[in-house]
Amino acid sequence: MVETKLSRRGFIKASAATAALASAGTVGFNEWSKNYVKAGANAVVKEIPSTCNACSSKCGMIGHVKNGRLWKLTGHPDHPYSKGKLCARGHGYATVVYSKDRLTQPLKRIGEKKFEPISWEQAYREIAEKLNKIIKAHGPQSVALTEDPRASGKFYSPRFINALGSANYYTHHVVCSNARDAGFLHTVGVTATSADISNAKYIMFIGRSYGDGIRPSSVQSLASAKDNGAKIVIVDPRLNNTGNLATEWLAIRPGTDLALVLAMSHVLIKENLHDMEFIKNFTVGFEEYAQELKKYTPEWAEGITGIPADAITRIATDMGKAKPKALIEQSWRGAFGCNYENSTETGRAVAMFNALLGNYQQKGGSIFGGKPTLGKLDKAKHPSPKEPEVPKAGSKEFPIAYPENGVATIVAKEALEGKMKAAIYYHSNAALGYGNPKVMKEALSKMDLVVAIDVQMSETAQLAHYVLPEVTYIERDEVIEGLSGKVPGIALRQQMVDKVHPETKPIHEIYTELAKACGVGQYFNFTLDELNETMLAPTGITYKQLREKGTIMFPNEEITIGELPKLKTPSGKVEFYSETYKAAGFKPIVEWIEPKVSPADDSFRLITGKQAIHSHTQTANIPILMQITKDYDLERIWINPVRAKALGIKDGDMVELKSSEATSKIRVKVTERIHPEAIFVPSHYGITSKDLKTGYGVGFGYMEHVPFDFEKWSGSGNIHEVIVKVRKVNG
Amino acid sequence: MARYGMVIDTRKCVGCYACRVSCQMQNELPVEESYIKFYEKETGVFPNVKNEIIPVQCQHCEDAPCVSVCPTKATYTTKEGIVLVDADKCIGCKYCMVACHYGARTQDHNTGVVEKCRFCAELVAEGKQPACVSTCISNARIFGDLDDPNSEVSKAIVKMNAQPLRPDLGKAKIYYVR
Amino acid sequence: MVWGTIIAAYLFLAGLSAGAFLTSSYAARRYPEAKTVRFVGRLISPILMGIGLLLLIVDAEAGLKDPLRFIYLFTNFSSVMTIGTYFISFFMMAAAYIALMELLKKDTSKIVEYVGIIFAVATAIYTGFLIGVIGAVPLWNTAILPILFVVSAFSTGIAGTMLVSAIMDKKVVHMVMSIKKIHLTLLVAEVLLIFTMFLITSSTNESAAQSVSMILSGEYSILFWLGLVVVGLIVPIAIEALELWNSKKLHHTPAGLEVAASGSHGIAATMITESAVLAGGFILRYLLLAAAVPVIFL
Ligand SMILES: Nc1nc2c(c(=O)[nH]1)N[C@H]1C(S)=C(S)[C@@H](COP(=O)(O)OP(=O)(O)OC[C@H]3O[C@@H](n4cnc5c(=O)[nH]c(N)nc54)[C@H](O)[C@@H]3O)O[C@H]1N2
Ligand SMILES: Nc1nc2c(c(=O)[nH]1)N[C@H]1C(S)=C(S)[C@@H](COP(=O)(O)OP(=O)(O)OC[C@H]3O[C@@H](n4cnc5c(=O)[nH]c(N)nc54)[C@H](O)[C@@H]3O)O[C@H]1N2
Ligand code: SF4
Ligand code: SF4
Ligand code: SF4
Ligand code: SF4
Ligand code: SF4
Ligand SMILES: [Mo]
Repeated sequence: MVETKLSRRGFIKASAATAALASAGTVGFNEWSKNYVKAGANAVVKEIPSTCNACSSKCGMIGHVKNGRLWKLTGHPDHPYSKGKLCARGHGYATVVYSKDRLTQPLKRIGEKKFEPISWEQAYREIAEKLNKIIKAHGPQSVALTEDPRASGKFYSPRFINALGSANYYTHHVVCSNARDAGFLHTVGVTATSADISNAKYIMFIGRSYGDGIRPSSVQSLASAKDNGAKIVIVDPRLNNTGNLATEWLAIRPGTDLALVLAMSHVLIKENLHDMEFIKNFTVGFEEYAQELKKYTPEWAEGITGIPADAITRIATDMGKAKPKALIEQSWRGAFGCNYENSTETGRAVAMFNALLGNYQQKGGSIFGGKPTLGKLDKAKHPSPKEPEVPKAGSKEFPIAYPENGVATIVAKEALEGKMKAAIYYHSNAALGYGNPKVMKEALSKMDLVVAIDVQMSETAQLAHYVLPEVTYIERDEVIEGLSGKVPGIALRQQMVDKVHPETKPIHEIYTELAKACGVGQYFNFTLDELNETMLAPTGITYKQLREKGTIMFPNEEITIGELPKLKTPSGKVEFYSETYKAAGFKPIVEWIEPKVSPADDSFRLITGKQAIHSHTQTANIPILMQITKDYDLERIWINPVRAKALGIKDGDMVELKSSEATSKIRVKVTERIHPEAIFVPSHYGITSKDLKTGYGVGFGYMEHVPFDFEKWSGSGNIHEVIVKVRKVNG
Repeated sequence: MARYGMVIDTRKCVGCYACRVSCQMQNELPVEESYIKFYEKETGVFPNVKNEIIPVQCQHCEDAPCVSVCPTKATYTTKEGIVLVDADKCIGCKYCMVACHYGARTQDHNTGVVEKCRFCAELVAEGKQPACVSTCISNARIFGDLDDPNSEVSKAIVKMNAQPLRPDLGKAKIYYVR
Repeated sequence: MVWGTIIAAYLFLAGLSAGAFLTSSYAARRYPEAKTVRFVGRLISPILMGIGLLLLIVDAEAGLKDPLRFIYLFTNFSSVMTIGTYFISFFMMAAAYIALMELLKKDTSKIVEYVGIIFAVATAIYTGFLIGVIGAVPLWNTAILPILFVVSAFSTGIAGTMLVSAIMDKKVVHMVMSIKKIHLTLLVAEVLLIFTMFLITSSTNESAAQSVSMILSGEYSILFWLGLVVVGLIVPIAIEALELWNSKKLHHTPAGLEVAASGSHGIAATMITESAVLAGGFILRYLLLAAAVPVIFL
């Protein structure tokens, strides 16, 4: 056995004093660890399964709670996204529960950035009065609700806004994957497939980095694919951190991925490597598509993408030979989620390339996951809100966009036009992350009512008339989450520690109570537990069992590989030719589209991407994560040495970055890992809310440089259509 | 008697820092203090570039210089070969810090004590894996008994010809695949 | 910089203290009439060692918070620091006893003085070995470094003793010419040792080469060339040599002897040289700590 002559550094017995400090939440995690270090004989450690909330993956995790205080986390072994592991954010973000910068009570704005604390009753009353007044004067279509969809939000938020008679429910995807979602939706009937990475033989990632935009199980699968000898190609203007797991890096000119995919598709057909059997049985419009592809030769693509024609031919050919265990991974945000005028079309082209390989629902291919069957509320006892009369704002302008998610920035546009009068933002920081912050600020300031429901004073909360403090995910139960995949399952987020701040509430309570104040309480006449029990009913699992396990998978409901389900496209098949597109006034066949802007010899394109330790804007204020940024200077922008040299810039120098929208000062990382035409900005910095003391002032927000814009197809934000100039400055 | 050791496969490491943060949480370290440090080595010229990420923590050296220089015997080697610091004996003289070849030690300025990776001895004692190993999202880390030729770690060392960072500086118990 | 200014000061003071003790013993034997030199050396050595030890304690944060832990310092015989702790303890006891006797104007025990001499030398050597055994820093890890530290300890010891003696008694410095000669020799030896050490380490090791270039041409070059070489070595060597040369002439004429003995000449020069040597001694240690580039392990 290991000698346990271990450190007892600063160990204090669980005295009354420390327990009191813990429950009052007055000590930060940091201070706490000073006083309360090693588990002593009298430390009670409880393990509570739950789900992470540090990003959209919501991995299963287990909280280790020591004497009532969150100590550490481990990955839930059964959850399909964590598979026993958590990323750095998963571990570190949980400390938000003890953050000094949390919201602790409802706030009402009484001046520019000035707030006063109010009671919940007053908040509900005043918000309800204003909402009802606005609805009466301008109709329910003048109010909107936007969120980052999480388990409870996904159920309660649309129900709440519908209860008010409005269809205006939006998600953050307008600056995430709206373009890809639309492209996929109209080709294969879902906004995203998943990829059977561990069984694949040839994998191409286009602007998707498992090692940066993390989900632990994805990285694990990729590592095992590598162990199995798979070819792994990364298409990225930047050698991202997944580079270590790859066999090849194609340093593409940013914004030109569509040309690459078209040319690779051209090669497949030309070399007769496409899966004719699959195409015959499961697709429509192949002839027209093949006809259009003729002009997209590898030589043509070389001129646009900068990738040698023979590399394009070689890779497409090898993928064709490896089919169906070959695929272009479905991607997420990086290359064509929301970035260029051609992004939706790139999404479409990728879905079609996978169809040429016939890899849908094949081992090592693209997978349509199965969903668990969950119970629904009895409408007789719990009436649902009526279908709103006026359709969702933006659905006319962007008929191709995925209707459930909508185009969230339409709220800002209509606010500027005086049409949108009230907006609720739940769990999302639209003011900093959705579009140009200056425009977003102006838009939010134009509205009669803005409500932000958050855990900290985000930039959006700063612009709100009312700020409602939610408890953190460490302190709340949520609606059961259905997990779709090869094997479907369910996961539960549950409370790990007592509420730290008494005047904070979980979201289901906030919606239920606010609905009552608005006079639509009848749609929320159930408790969260009742709802969860109802959802569980068809599964045969008890609530108690789920609480104990946290994540439960249904192996009996595993999808059958090789059996393509009927697709949710109008034809029920993969659509190489889309009538929907035609009806919406777009070309029904995919074609090359130029990006909106292009850099000149003396300028760069601004591109962005994730860093492993941060999630969008929400982690910048977490000390244990921000410390890593500080230790390794991660807020720096990337520039190619050849360009840097020409500009007299050395590694670590301070530069000025200037676009049509803004000027920023920042230090540079000079690296061979980036395309000479691009400047890469890590996406998580530039917090301007002074209440977020850890995040404030580190780096800059790339959105400041992005003109407020909508891509024609999906309405997404075109966030890489930005040209910047760089020059060395002192500092 | 088990002799514990680890393999770190830098060809798999994506530099995600999950190991760092999980270690800080496990050991309840202040945010500024970390047992794992990261080094990057970029080679080549655009677009033929390679980037290696090398996480470095205490290598649990045999004949560890930190043990021999520690005047108070606060740093010691357990029977299993794990190098540990007895925080109640450490005076914070930092002699071990200058003596360590791998810059693996840090001082906690709250207590003044100099610490470092302890191979999660308390978890290992319970038969569990160290925090950094169990959370490594790319399975780049393998931990186990070096004396048992059938352990996963021993097999990995042989199969991948893993080597200490500087074999010439003395035997270490972390083996790298590079 | 793991070990910084405080440890540099500790190493400097320990060397200085040992050197002062040796200077006083030498003076006591060779120049019984130069009482001030003996007195000063005997007095400052335990005081400076004490200050050095205090600095060490202040730098040892964990011990500072829980001083009883310093007891453990005596436990690891494979640690140079433990061995040094014994050396310093014995040296301190002897030096303190002798200083006390000096103050009480009592005779000192010869045995204690021999013990003091032995442990003074040991302490001087220890300050070199403390960092010289560190394989992780190639710049330090040479056989020359302990010799350099001993030489520098003696020279700073002489300088410290002479400086204080000169303040107390203007005449006395001119009575101890052989000390000055020794001092000059030590300073010249130091120059040779420093450059030999740099040459050898930097040609055999990459990290040491980096260290050396940091010192010779990098961020520490001004401190090295101006602070150590010019102020700490060249200036004292020049003045000392001039003084010795002059004094030779002086001592040939009765008038000269008269002048010298009256002490109206040369105090300023002594003050300058000895202060410069002291500054140089500290800078030397500081530079060696600051430019410590660890072995490259990647
Ligand atoms: N660490 C971390 N992980 C996350 C998140 C997070 O915030 N932080 N968020 C989650 C969410 S919501 C999302 S949407 C995903 C995003 O996951 P990804 O889409 O993988 O993440 P990004 O880093 O935005 O983009 C990936 C890569 O696209 C590259 N890229 C930029 N422009 C182009 C281009 O024109 N062409 C090509 N081919 N590549 C380009 C970037 O250099 C970057 O390396 O991550 C999820 N996981
Ligand atoms: N600057 C910047 N903009 C981006 C991105 C980026 O990385 N940087 N990424 C883009 C992408 S891919 C996406 S998906 C979107 C994501 O955009 P958002 O959904 O806006 O994500 P965040 O910016 O992280 O903002 C989340 C907000 O939720 C709050 N929050 C966290 N936990 C809770 C909770 O438990 N309850 C409540 N009520 N609030 C909580 C946080 O404090 C924060 O204010 O942003 C896009 N825009
Ligand atoms: S990927 Fe990381 S941050 Fe996202 S849910 Fe999973 S553990 Fe949490
Ligand atoms: S790596 Fe450093 S701290 Fe760890 S055993 Fe070796 S010398 Fe000691
Ligand atoms: S700092 Fe502590 S562990 Fe390190 S050598 Fe000094 S007493 Fe030993
Ligand atoms: S083994 Fe444990 S103590 Fe060492 S680095 Fe890993 S998690 Fe930290
Ligand atoms: S957790 Fe694994 S992949 Fe991530 S940085 Fe650590 S060793 Fe590398
Ligand atoms: Mo996203």
